[in-house]
Amino acid sequence: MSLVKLENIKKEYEIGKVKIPVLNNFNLEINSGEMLALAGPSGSGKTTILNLIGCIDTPTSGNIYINNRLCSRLNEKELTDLRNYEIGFIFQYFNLIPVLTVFENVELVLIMQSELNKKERKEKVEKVLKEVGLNDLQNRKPAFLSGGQQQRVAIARALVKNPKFVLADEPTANLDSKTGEEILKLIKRLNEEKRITFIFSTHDKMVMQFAKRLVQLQDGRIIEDEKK
Amino acid sequence: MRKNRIYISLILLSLKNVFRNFKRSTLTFLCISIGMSAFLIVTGLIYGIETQSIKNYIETRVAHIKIYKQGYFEDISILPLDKTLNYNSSELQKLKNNNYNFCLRILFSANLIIGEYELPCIAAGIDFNNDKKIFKIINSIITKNFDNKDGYKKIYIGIDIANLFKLKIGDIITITSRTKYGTINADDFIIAGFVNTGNPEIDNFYLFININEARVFLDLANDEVTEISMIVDDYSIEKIEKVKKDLRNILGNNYRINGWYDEIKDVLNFFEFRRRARLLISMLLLILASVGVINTMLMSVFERMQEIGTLMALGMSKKKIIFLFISEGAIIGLLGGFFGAIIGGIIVWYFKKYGIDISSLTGFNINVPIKTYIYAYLPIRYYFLSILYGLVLSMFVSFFPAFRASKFNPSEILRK
Repeated sequence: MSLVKLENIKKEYEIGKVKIPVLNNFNLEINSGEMLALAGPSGSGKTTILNLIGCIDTPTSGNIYINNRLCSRLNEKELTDLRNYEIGFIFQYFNLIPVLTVFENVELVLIMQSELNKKERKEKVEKVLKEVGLNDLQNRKPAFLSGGQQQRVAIARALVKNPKFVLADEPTANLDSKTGEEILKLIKRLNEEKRITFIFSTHDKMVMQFAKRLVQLQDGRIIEDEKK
Repeated sequence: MRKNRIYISLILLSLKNVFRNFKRSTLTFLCISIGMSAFLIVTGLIYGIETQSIKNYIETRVAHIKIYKQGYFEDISILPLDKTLNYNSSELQKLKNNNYNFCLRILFSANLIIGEYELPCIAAGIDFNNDKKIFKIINSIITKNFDNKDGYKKIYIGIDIANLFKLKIGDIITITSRTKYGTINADDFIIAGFVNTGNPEIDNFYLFININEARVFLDLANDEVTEISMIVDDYSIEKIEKVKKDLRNILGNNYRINGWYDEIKDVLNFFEFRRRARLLISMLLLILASVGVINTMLMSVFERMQEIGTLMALGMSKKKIIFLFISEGAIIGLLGGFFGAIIGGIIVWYFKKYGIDISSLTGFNINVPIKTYIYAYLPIRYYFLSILYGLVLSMFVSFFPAFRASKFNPSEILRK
């Protein structure tokens, strides 16, 4: 049973009256626990696929199944809930809320879920910050963190909700190679120890090496799907 | 309860966002504060003018209640002498028996003759002992010792008439008027003092003589008066209406009983018109303030597109995105309204205490019975209203930028 299934996906962007095809008859299945990298040059469709899987974009045609649920059948609220509870996001530019501290950035996700009380949230946030090695910096604002530290906050924010899978759009693109490697080691550890599914988009060779499954894309098509 | 926690957290996040760009937020607060304080100042001055005008009318001319003979009020512009009250009548004597606080007056049209000049005036025969219990005319008289060895009857004239003709205390003036029976009578009077009420209507047009001398001058019987003026403890419209009802029961239907608001109906209608003008001015001020809020909110939305996209990707609903930005607007409006109320309150307090000197506006028709200082007055509810206006207005105008933010496509804005 696949965790994510893209079936006959077609995606076109409209710029003015011009339609630009990005994906055409695209199929992909991702299973739970995978650490998959979508690699390819710019414009190959990597980010589009991540956006479709993350339910922040819709395909022109075709079906996307998340945990066997057909996304096109879900209403606005169900899609929001799906993102809120089941999908973690890590962005290339970290996208932390600058006015919130490290702790508050991570806690915000739990507040949005409205499931836990303050004490439970605190415990959970502190636990995840410890996992990513940031428990000493929880009161800092993002502006006072290094790029690597900010990305760790973003990882903690993605993990705190115990998502079914985490989407990471070029997670090392704004980090130096040493920091990038540290982040990848952290992700690999989380994948191995906690069986968290990670789906990357990247053109960083180091990320490709770390990934356990590498899907090479070109012009919206899979040219190679390699399981290591 | 837990579901509400997200909204509390969003309000806290909004608060932080408001102070993110301190200079811009401060400018927006100022924009609202200036709008709100201007609203309070304009309202305070207009309220002050109205309150002071009504007070002046009551204290110098209309009292709280007036009693006329039926038919007199309809012809009041010509001050008829054929529709007088007989104070010794059994009905009117009941006023005395019921301990009402009142005075008797005879009002008539008169011409003041000074040399070759003739000035139409309103003359009032008043009972000097009782009049001061009802009106402030007697207390406003400016007088000094003068020589009256020829035993002229005394007259008190409005100070502006005196200034116009350069009259002095002790000068002799001639008054002419038609008697009750239509013949023209004339008599000389010695100026015993100047009436300086601050109500231009009185100070420009009124002459005051003794009521008994007025009766003789006008061929009226010794109990005839044109009006009875009365004051009560509480002159609210509700209370006056109650007293009017009681008086009708006592006096019957031969008398016209007017509350102060019946006497100055035209003035109150004008105030109503002015209130609408004030509303228009207030609206313009509020629109001005709202432009600042819209500008700030739109800038805020477009600056934070990435952040909005992130929040959406993390699972924040469109409703909550709208809430986030509207609460930012609400905070700006609340703070702006609050500071506006403080600034406006201080300025209104200053004008309440020291007033605005309008004496230099002599000759400029501002349609108020005030000629020296206008004092601001503002009921406390207006301060709360200004804060509420600031809040509601900001929330209202923030809706468009907030709605705009909620319509962003997260995949598109995260791509930028």
